[in-house]
Amino acid sequence: MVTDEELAELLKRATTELEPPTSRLVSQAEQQGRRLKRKRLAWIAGGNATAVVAIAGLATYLQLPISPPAPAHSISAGGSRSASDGAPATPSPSVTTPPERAKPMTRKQMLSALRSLLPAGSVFTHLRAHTKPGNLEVNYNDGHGEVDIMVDIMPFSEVVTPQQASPTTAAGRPLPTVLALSCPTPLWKDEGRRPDGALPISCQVRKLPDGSIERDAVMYADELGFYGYGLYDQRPAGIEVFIQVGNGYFDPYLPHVDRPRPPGSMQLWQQVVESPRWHG
Amino acid sequence: MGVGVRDKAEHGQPEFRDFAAARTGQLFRIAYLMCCDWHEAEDLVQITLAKLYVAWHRVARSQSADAYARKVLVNTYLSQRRLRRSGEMPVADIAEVCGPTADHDLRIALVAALRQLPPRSRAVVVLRHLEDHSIESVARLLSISPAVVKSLNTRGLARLREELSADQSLFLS
Repeated sequence: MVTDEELAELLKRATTELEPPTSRLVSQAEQQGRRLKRKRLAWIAGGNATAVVAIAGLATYLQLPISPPAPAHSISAGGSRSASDGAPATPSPSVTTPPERAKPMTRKQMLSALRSLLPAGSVFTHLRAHTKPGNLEVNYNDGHGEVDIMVDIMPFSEVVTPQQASPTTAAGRPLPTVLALSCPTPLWKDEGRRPDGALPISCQVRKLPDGSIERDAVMYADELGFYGYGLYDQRPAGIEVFIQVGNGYFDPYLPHVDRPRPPGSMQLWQQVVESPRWHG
Repeated sequence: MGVGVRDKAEHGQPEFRDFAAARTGQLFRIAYLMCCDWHEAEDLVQITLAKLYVAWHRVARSQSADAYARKVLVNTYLSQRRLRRSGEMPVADIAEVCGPTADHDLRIALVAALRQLPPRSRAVVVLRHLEDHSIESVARLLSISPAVVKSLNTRGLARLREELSADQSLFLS
């Protein structure tokens, strides 16, 4: 009869001499991780493989004082087609009015805007202090569990197709370019177990009467079952508003899932992301 | 979900490299006993580290990085098992890269015995007895209830005892 203690000892003895090729595994994992990261960024930014353009542009934007942008290049509302994923053609807003802004919204202004757009009695906590102007991260509780909310407001100069996008297109622009919104085909797959009772993965791109293009998605679950709403609103005025609402909060850096569904309905968050209060 | 990654540019992550290098050995041992195959274990560890790399900006300063890595490892292993249930190799084909050692026979016997367990039982037994995780900790890692962990552990151990009892000589150190 093998006791529990003996079994534990056997397992340890049997594996103690195993020496995996650590350097090779770490090096290959980094390469694979970079590919995964690019893929994920591309999904998040609009469903193609060149989202790094927007990221690079955003970084430029965040480091420079806001100055009047270069004349915006108009992209027709006829839309574009993703080269990499076979996603259906998606429209882009015609950016005809160069955005005139003095300063990006502060955290306080953004929190005030968000509070005004959500039901009374909602509780906001853990306002993250490390975020830059135009970016808000805060915990929100509608009475059914605390969740993480992130809001990004990004002025942009141009909506580009994946074919047009490259690191050089972003260089030298006072404002970043953004990618035409699209949904991946097929849709994302969960990385971990989706909580029981979770909303299904979904994605929809639509054009609003004011010319804005919006992508409304329920995202895939990560390894810890964390998922949520992710909405983009690209406006003709040259502002992209992004809102992400999770089904849990970060404790402090890893997601803690405390409810099967994020708060509110898709309709509620559509109203929030489309609000004129995110004027930038 | 791709949380908070929009403003993260591609750059080197030396802290990740240090963490990964320090943990690869133990992650590999867990992976090896779950996969019962050297090459599959390498793949599993590499995928785990790659996923960890993606989440590193969140994980970096967390005290839970080890737990996160294990959770990714176990989830990835179980997902792969679901995708290829019939992909088990015969025991005679078990890949052994390292040469015979004093514990070589023991390892072969253990791996052969572990192969008789369903994937979830195998994961529970390895986490409980190689890693000394509590029932509650294993339940969190596998996203199942403690009662299910207890049940899988009891059944897994019973099966292992059955398999290993035939060769008591292996237990002599």
